[in-house]
Amino acid sequence: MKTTRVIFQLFLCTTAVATLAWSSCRKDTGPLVIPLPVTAPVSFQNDIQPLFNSSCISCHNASHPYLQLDSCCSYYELLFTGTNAPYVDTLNPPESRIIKRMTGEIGPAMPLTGTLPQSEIDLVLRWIEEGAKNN
Amino acid sequence: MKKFTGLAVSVLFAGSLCAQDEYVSGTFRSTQLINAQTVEMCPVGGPEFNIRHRFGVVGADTTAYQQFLGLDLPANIRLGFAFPINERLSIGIGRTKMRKFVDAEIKYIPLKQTVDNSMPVSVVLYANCGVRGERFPRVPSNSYYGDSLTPFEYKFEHRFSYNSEIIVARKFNDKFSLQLAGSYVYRNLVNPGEENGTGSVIISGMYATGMSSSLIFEYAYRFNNRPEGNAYPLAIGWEFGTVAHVFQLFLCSTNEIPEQEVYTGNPNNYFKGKFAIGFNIKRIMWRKN
Repeated sequence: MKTTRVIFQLFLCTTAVATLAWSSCRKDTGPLVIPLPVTAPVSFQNDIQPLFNSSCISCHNASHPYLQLDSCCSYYELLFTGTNAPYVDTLNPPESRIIKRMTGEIGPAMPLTGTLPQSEIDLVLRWIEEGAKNN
Repeated sequence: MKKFTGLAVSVLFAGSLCAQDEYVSGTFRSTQLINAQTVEMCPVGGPEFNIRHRFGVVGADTTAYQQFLGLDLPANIRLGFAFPINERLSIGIGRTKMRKFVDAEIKYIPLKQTVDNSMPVSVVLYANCGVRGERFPRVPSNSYYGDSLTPFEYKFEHRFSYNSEIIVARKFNDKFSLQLAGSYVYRNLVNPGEENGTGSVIISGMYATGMSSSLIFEYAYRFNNRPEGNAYPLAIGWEFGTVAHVFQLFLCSTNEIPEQEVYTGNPNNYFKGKFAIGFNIKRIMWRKN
């Protein structure tokens, strides 16, 4: 009986040591954010709206019940008048609703016809990070 | 390696060698002294339920009364269970609110202080493994590992961190007990500029002020990953106990709870008057014989 107990204790201690040894499986530091090279600011009219035109307005037009992304009103829809506005959060850009919709974090990823390339999502994110200006 | 194995085996079996000795009891009132583990073990008579609670951090200024000593601020809490395997070994599990941190622990006491002083101290080996359950924050695309070359992405292993301790304690008399612990915390992922492993030495003690109450304190010196302003974790408080309960009420420099955070993070600078109020409650659920 005593032998069984000692073996059990030994087993548990071995398990603990093995767990500690496993701890060295990663030795990482990060994330280290390296500033991007200075580039021209993202323009809503020249960079973002064309993206909406090519990928979004086939559905998000005047007949869409929640959000219209036509060039006439997309900016105000995103910030003020869309059903779930504001779709942008300049204080915490990655948490913006528009970003979460594009990545599929909320509901199915938009557009439904196929997810946008990461570079285009990053472009929208950068526009928000720069203050979501109507420029 | 042979030496290490020999030492490990002798420590493991030391308990059975001293089986006939009369051991000192009640070195501390609880298995936990503020943030530190003690040499006390969960009694074989029943599992232990413990609550560790820390209110928000306030300064020694107007925030102290505006936030009612931190009671109005977001708090941190850990609920835990410890289960005795036998009188020398126990295991436990707990969950902490901050970082949705779940930890599993194992505690073994190979050496116990004896009444005749043939063994002058008690020695405990303690280890735990913690997992961060929170969702990882989104990182910008220009994030890299510490080498500045490899694009950063969170991995499952980044959730893990470990703490192992060797604790040596002595009950000097009925009023005063002191313990010294060497701790090594390993975190699989740390912030840039920090080291994954953190070594520290923790000194903590108890001075009985009555039959069931005592003053308690804790201080943890760190060998690396030093805190800003050298404000090493510090806490002082008061505890009282009954047969099945122990209550501890204290002022401490951090509202973190897991050892992995207390002994690695940046505690609040008490030199600038920052402090938090916390309490621990331990309840032993005695089993019916």
